Amino acid sequence: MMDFQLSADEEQIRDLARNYAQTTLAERALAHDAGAFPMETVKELAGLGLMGIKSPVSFGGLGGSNVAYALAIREIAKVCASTAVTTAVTNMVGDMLVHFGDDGQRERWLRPLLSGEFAAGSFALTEPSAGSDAASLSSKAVLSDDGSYYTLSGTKMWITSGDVAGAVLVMAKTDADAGARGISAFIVDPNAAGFHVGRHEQKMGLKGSSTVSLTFESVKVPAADRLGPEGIGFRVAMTALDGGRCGIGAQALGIAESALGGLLAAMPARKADDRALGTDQAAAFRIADMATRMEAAWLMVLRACALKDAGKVMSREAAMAKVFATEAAGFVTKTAMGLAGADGLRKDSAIGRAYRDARVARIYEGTSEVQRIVIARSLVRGV
Amino acid sequence: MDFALDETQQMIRDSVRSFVSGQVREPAMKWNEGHGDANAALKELGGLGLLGILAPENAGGAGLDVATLILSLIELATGDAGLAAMVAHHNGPALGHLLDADFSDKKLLSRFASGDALLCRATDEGQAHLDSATVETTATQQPDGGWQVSGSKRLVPLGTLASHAIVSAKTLGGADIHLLVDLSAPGVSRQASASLVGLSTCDLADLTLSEVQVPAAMTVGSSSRAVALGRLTTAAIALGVTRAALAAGVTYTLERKQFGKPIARFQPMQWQTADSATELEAAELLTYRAAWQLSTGDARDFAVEKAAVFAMEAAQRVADRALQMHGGYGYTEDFPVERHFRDAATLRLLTDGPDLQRVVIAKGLAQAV
Repeated sequence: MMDFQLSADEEQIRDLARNYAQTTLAERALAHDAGAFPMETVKELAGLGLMGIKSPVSFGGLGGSNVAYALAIREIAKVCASTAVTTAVTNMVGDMLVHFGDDGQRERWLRPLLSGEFAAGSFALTEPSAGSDAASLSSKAVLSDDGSYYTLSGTKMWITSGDVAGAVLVMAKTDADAGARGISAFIVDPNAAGFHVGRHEQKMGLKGSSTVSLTFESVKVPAADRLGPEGIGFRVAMTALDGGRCGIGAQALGIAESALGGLLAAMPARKADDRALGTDQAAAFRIADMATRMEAAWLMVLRACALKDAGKVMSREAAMAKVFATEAAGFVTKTAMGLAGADGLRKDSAIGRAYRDARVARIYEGTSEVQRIVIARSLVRGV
Repeated sequence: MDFALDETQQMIRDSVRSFVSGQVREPAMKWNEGHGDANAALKELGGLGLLGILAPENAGGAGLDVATLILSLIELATGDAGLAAMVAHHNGPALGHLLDADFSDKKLLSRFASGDALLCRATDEGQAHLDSATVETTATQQPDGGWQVSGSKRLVPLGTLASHAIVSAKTLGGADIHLLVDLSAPGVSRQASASLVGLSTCDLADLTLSEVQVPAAMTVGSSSRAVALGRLTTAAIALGVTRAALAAGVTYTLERKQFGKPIARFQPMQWQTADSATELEAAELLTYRAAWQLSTGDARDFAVEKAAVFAMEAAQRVADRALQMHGGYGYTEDFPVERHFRDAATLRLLTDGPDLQRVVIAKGLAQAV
């Protein structure tokens, strides 16, 4: 039987995120948009368990469902999209440790990630020449003769929190000739010699999140820090992205909600030029379209999450949810800006910020084009 | 029918194009990061005659037509939309208003037409042109026939740089009046407006007028042409942004390789490029037709409004696609496309927004039935 009811746990996690977001985070959101990394905030979120929403309680997580995760990310994004993406990426790294790691790795990396001892976790897949074509990455990890460590070399791009992370999940080739099956996943300690942080990207939005390139110059990575067996790195990355895409869908809808909220708050002050010809109706119809698209997108995100909670494969549904939700957010933020009057054009207004923040959601964790490839491949042979 | 430009139009377009290549395109990246401003470039444009395009030569201007103004603005906006917005405002709704209303002080007029002084037109009082009928600024007639003006205007282009502003106000009797206000007069205060999402190089100010005395001779007649010029010059800026964004997208997709080939060879990129190029073409033709009408007489058939709606919205779509083609790079300030995306969204600051223009078109069509 279908059931759209949230569980008590899910409601509790949503409220935990909402209460924090609406109070403490709300006071800091403008400072984060001015470029301040939310260091204090991420520590406090860890204290609440929100850096490991799905991770086991025994490791400091909340033991929540994927649905709870989407609920929490949306609540945070509604107030501060920068904090939401930072939180989402840390959660994603933790989830991979839970899913693919062993107990030793969970003790070593997951516990400090969830406690806030680490400010964040980072996910390092993309390279300068391997973006949408992720499997063509050229970073490589070469096993030492005695089998005790790998030597990691390469450069990664667009790494969220790469300069503050305590653990970086890196995908690198261990077999240059095996294509995607030659990729392995490693947890890399940023304190290791040869780990270099490149320049900070100056972005249009998400200014409170940190985005850097990372260069590994013969970084020694203990063999014990390889996640799972050799060759499963691409599967780790794709599993991470299936969950991550639900998170980005939820984030995009949180951003859209803040734009719509900003517009509705501004509506009483907006006077129509000619009511008889229906300028008010024009605005009202667009608001109806915004809310409808957001609702549809939200149901798609929740369905992908629910499938994951049921242990089902949900790559297609996650891709559909991500592309639909992020494009809805693009439509909502643009339309809200068009309807809101001069205040909506202000860079630091709720709508002005949402407009800038929402745009990257159609690009990161797989562009809209990549999502469409994933969807098409699940339906059409040979795409 | 003839879609060719005349020699003068070609010459002016080419000279603006080379000015943009040499003195705008690169510096614009710095201006938008907050380093330096476009004011020196604005001054140089005055030296080239681009601050008095429509003013007759005997009034110190270049004596050119609206089409030439539009062509110049398109070129300028390919380099920097904020700079183009300042040039558009001075030439179009501001100076265009004085010319249309046959303003009598020829000496002052020639200062604006030569670019020695900048002129702005202050109408907006808060709702970004969503309700241009609501003017709360008051003009009270004095015994000597002059006016005392009080009120506030915001987001006025050229508001801090201009020497004078055409201010819209209501008389005690409720009539609309426009007055040319010397911005150095007692009672005028102005401050830079809050930063907007886009058009960050465009000088914008909020003006407060507190019992400002304006001589009777500074009364300016009304001008429907000023409104049309505001709309059409905004369409021109939109076209420049569109052109720049389209070119940026095409260039990037030819250079960027994924899956072993330039991404320009993938159908989703090709479709986006084709749609953008088609929309640009349509927007250009709508704008040129309206410019031709205004160059030879008055606008008809809501050609101006149709051009403005279509061009403003096309700019947003095309910039959005171009940014998408750039992937993550498009979201950074290293490439101009993120600026095109923000500028396109901010264009309606300069004129009535697309929704209001739609109402104008629909109302006009309803009356014609």
